[in-house]
Amino acid sequence: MSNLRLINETEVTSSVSSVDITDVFSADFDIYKITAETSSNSTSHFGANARLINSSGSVIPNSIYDRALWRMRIDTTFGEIRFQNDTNLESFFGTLDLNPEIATNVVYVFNPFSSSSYTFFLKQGMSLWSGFKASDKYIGVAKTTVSCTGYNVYSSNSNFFETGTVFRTYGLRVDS
Amino acid sequence: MAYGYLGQNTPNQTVNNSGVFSITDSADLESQGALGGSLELIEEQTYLGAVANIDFTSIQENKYDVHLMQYSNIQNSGGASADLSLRFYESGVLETASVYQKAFQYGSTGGSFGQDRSTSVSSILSIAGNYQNKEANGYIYFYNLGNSGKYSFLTMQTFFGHPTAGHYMKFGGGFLPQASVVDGIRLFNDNADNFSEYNIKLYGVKQ
Repeated sequence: MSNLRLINETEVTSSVSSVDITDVFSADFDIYKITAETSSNSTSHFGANARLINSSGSVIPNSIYDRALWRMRIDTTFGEIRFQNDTNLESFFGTLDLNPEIATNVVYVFNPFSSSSYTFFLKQGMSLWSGFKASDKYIGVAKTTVSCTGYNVYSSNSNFFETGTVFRTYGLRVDS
Repeated sequence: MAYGYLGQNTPNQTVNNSGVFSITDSADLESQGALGGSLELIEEQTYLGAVANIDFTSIQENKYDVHLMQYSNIQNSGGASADLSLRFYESGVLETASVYQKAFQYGSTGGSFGQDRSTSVSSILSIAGNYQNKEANGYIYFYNLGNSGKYSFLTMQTFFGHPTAGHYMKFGGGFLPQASVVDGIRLFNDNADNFSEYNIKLYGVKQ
């Protein structure tokens, strides 16, 4: 038996520009794994940005998010992207446009429910958009000790996520 | 519906399935696929004799849209470095044309870093140096293999020995830009060497 425990599956079934995944982080687990696919019918590309949701159900939009990623472009030279004190983890769940140019991701989240440590993120994924193709290795941190119970994914330019977008959140269980 | 839990503080899970189960609970939950963890072993292959290809042809692509492959101790029997490579079967037919695309970052313990990328290649992965006693170990995630309306993606991370240049890490992704049903996976050495050791597990990630 593996130690992954499925906590939540959220699938987009209609056009939405923002998705809240709530009540997934708790005292039951310290480390979480997310498999995510983001898909759209938009002809212009956009980022699937991420933010945390606190225990009151409110998105934390403050300038607490740092990120660094190594973007491995199939068609041209690789490069680094980094930013401090942003209001979100930009394109954390990939960059996408018209299906089948989607984004696929495997994410780890550390200590989101803790009220004494920051929340850390690791991601590896692959995105296709506007003819571009890239694999990303992404690290991030939310510099807050606010206890968080969920996360929000939203479109960077109000384009819509469509059917095919799915987020599965697992807890990494520790059996004593 | 709760199942056979005797205590309190039930972990937050899609199905309330911790605690002590009756036989009925257990059978019911197992039939739903809700008992136990969320990685479900589809197939494990271990070295039994020299082979040039390792095929996974019953990958349950209709059941899972995310697969995980873990491989360890992959070695070849040749005297030279081989590139461990990967191809997909589409509806039972191995895709051998230069239609795959990939982007990988690599780095060696000796300090050599670089890029491995292509928009037209006949296989994905290219893990160099799964040489005798220089085994390759790593994992690969696959997405949408069974979806006829979507491309098939993979991301991976690995660490492996090289015959003459120390050890290397490699990570990145690739895809098959054809909206098709992928129903099989082949691992092989690009120089046609046989494998001399391997253990490979293919899991479905429970939905």
